[in-house]
Amino acid sequence: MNEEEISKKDLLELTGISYGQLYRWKRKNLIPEEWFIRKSSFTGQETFFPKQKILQRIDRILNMKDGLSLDELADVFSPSSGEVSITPGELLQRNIVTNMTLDLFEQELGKQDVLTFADILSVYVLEKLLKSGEITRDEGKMLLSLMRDHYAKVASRPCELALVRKMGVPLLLLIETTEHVYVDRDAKWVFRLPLRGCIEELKLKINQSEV
Amino acid sequence: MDREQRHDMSMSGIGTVASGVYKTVRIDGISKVKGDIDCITLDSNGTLNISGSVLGETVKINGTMSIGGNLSAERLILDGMGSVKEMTRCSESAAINGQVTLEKGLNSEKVEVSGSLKSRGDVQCEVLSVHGGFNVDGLVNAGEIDLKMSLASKAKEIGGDHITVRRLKKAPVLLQLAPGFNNRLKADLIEGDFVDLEYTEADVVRGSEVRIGPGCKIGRVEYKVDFKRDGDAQVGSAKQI
Repeated sequence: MNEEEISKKDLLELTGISYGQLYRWKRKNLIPEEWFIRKSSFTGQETFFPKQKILQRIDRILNMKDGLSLDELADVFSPSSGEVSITPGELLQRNIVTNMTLDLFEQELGKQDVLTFADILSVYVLEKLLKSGEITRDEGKMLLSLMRDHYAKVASRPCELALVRKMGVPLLLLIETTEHVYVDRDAKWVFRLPLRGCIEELKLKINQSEV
Repeated sequence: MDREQRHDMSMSGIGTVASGVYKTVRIDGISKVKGDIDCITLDSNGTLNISGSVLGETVKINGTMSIGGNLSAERLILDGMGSVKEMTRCSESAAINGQVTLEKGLNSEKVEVSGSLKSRGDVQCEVLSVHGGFNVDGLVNAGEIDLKMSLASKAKEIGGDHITVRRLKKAPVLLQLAPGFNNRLKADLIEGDFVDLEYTEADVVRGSEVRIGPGCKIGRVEYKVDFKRDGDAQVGSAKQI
């Protein structure tokens, strides 16, 4: 994927933050190490960032910084799950998922009193994809078992969920983001969804509805 | 494990300590630990050689220490010489009197060094105060960096809020010929809000308020608000942004 990049100097100018802030956020792991892309330029070394991601991240940090401490913020952005467990009833009450998605989850994996973060994430991702119409209910079931079987292995690393269809046969993939994947020409990418973004959204939803 | 269930371990003389979970580990003499140690307090006088990782609240070393794995502690007090092969994390503070070599890097809140700090990875903390010198192959990232040099110092990149670099005193002329005693700071890139440098060689310095003091050789300065330059400093170009 070729993303547009922004140099550190332009970034600071555009967002109005200072070097001190940027380095502090890096220290607190609010900005992941992989986003610092070092390139040599005519003035020596310059640091670049993936433009979309960094602007969105800085916007979020600036908006939330008044309500939460930096450490709490770091927790929101960290890919690790944190210590969250919620009952299915609460998930519905807080509008994180709808009844239909939860039913599907319970059909597939049985009723549970308390959902762990990984489970909540699975349901949340499922809800999102069902809503956008990108997957069918059967594929949703595949997704749930895929997440159940393999999510724990990649939980602390950035990863992507992807769906490939070939001649109407779906193939669901969980990919560690740094890897490039190529498919043959009859196969079609239906979507690629970075889980880190979903985790952030979900954590925000959980945190906000607690306040 | 609960604090109550932990036992103390005390050793004097020459010997080997078993790895495991302890409350207080006290070692006087020369000792080896095969494997990991998990303890509340580790107190060593003499020579300590641990092949695994150390996890503790307070780690206090007098003498020499070498750790083959990670070092994770709330407080580290090291008087003497130490080396850590993997990552070093000190959630509260690290006080180093003497010399320490870190193969991976250091994460901490407050770091005070009297002597020399050597790291092959990044050093990240809120406050870094160094009397002596540092040699960091990666990035030094700290809110407040206060370097008082009596040894040659080096870093690839330095970033933070306040960065102050001073020379403690000039080395004698003969000693200056030996590279280790030519107490200047060399860095590729220095970026901070308030940057105040003396006796520093850097390719690029960026900041909002920048002061380049005596003995500096800077390729390019980019500043936002204010730029002061000592008459004795060599600055390739300075540009307001």
